[in-house]
Amino acid sequence: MFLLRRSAPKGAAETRAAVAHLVRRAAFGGPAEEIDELAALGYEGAVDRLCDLSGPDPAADAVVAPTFNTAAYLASRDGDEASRREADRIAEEERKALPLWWVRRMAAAERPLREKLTFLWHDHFATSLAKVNIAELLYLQRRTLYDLGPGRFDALVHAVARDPAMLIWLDGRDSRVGAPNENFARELFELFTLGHGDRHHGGQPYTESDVGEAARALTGWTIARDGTGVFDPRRHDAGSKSVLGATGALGLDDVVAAAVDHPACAPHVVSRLWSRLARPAGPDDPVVVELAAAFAADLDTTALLRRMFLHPEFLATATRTALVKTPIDLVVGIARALRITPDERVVPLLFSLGQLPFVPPDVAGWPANEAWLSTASSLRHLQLALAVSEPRATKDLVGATASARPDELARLLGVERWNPTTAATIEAAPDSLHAMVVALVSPEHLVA
Amino acid sequence: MTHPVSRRRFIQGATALGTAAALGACTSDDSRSTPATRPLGTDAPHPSADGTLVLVTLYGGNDALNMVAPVADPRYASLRGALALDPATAHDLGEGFALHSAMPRSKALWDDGHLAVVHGVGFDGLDRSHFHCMDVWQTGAADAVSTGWIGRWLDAVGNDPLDAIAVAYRPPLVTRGHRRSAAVVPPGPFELPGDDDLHALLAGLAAQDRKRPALGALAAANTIDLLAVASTVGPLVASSPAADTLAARLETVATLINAGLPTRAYAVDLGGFDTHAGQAPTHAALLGELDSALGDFLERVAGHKVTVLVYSEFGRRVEPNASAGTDHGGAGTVLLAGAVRPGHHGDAPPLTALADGDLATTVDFRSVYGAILEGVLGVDAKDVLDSPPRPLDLV
Repeated sequence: MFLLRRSAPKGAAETRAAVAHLVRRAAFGGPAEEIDELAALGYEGAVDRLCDLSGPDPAADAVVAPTFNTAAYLASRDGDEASRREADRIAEEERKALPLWWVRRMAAAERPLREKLTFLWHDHFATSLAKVNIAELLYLQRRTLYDLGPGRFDALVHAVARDPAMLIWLDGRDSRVGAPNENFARELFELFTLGHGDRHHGGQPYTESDVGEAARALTGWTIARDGTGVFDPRRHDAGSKSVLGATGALGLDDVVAAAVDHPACAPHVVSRLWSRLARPAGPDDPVVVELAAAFAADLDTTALLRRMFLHPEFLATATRTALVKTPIDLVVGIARALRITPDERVVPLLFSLGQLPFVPPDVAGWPANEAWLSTASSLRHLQLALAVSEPRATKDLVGATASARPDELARLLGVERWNPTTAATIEAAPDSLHAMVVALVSPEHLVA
Repeated sequence: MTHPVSRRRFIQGATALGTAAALGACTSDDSRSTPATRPLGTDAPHPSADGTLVLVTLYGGNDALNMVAPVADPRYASLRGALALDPATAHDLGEGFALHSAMPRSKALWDDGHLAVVHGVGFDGLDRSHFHCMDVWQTGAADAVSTGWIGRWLDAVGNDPLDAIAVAYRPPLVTRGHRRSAAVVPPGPFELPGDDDLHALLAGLAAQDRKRPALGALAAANTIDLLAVASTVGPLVASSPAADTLAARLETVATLINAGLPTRAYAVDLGGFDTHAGQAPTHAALLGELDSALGDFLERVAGHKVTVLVYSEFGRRVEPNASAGTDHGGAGTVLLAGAVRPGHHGDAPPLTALADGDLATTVDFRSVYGAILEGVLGVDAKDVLDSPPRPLDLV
């Protein structure tokens, strides 16, 4: 089925439903009044508003950032037992404060797409405290993703390649001329820029030789005493290398340039973002190919996001039920919809849900869709629903009769429409608290 | 197997009604790549196979040469340099091999005839990518398919939410099927929150409903399964350790096996094996953790026919890099423990014939899976794997 390009939804109800879908995917969801306000701008107006990523975000910036005790941590972690205990205490404290701060920012943000995009880049360039250990370095890496994320993708990769947390995470700081460490070189191609490819369909965009030669070119980058990424020419392999068709005495910037200029890069990156924001699609998917053609020309991420949200496929019926909410989407979405400020309990909750920011399972980031639906996640969804419903239910739903609750809850939670089974179950609830829990754990709320 | 733990009737009714049909809606995307299954029981080839499988996935690429090392081959010490295991402290396994010194419990299993070592395990297309190789291992297929080999076993035989259990935060691909997936039991103690009213509402909410999209049906099916899993498993794990370690996850598995659950396959994992830098102490600690968890677990389930399968996505490069670590490599070593045919299996890849610096594959990983499917789970390997090779004689 072909839709007219840029066909805006017709009618107020259709526009509001489309905007609610946009807000769920691009902005973690939001309170009903916020969706109303955006819907009043029309669909394209709402896209413009959400995609305005320039300028500060006073509401997010008002969330006080954690303070870091990196010097004390580093001084005590290699000391005697008492001193190591002190290092552990500092690390433990910062390890909780950092994700709580970010989740609060996401919940408070006036430019929520900027936080969502930053999280998507964190998922893309996934780096974990489990190995980096120094929370401040992850804080600074997130700052880089936040500052450069909306801009040109190539500038972002150049910065990430010399980011101190990344230099620790993928062992770049330990790599040197002679027998270079391949860790970063391989993931730079496989995950960050080109994709693994399929040997049955077009083959791999890079070879084992590209990985080995790139690893040589990347040698010399290490971490200075002040914690910044620094180039030490004595550790660098200055010989000639050949990487993705470029040959010469290549260094880090040459390797990054060769990767981001490679024809496989735009489809890989677009596939990742489209799969997280719209529906799962590989680099060969026609929509991805179309969006990648434009992205390859300017590598402008904000322009890409606009094109994604304005693409008719973004609003297609199948797209609207194609993604399972991740734990972050769910927790931040509920916080925004119900105007709750996340407290300390959100950290163990996100951990048990399997998606604590700054602790991705591995360098590929978090899995998607089916990975968020299991008996274990059903248990955690139920715990989450009960925790947020207790104080809210009577306040927001007081006066609602049983028959009015389904509509009231759909509006409150930004759900497009209930399946009849769900609506009947909400209506059958003995009180508003039970109704709200059922709504929160319903398939329509979890998959949207 | 007996099933001593009773469940509330409405849950049983809801389960029978809910999951299979609801999941039927999710089967459209790549049924082409799933091997045809046939009804079982009529001519099941291994009716006596009645074991329990415990899968232990080591994420990151376990350095096989640092676990079971060919210490008698002089090329080993010269290629490995400072990372080579010291034959004086490693545990002798005969035939020129030795086990890492951090694995004394496994050595005891070996001496008691409860450990099998399969050398040179890999596949065509083993390409040093964590994610591609682990997908191949977990799906049991060279081409991208969306189901795991245990998931397809569930598709073929499963009829109870407890047929397979992963102790994990997220469901691994290996236990995902088209029709059914393993229940996921979270690490640590848990109980179903909420009151009876809520649980009755949840059963109604999750009832079969053909109008739900595929992912919505999957969400509903998991809610129904949770009601069953929580009432059965919750009380059993009420006093399980709160700390989340491999040992604790395996303790949970032992508790469930000893309680007589109908579960035939369990999945747990341990990460951290991507030892690109400073490998020696890190890898020794990981192997020690694996070893003691495995030893404790097998002691706990003594008297049950349990086979543990330990695997990783690939082995590592034979020669170390300049950061005292090893980069991604080729064929790996699979360990089987418990009810197994002990000893060395397969052909150890020769250090004289490396494939681009890696150990070459001498054993198709699916011949290990075939042994498990036929010898432990009692189904024909062809029911789960596409044109499988002859199973090894491992169980």
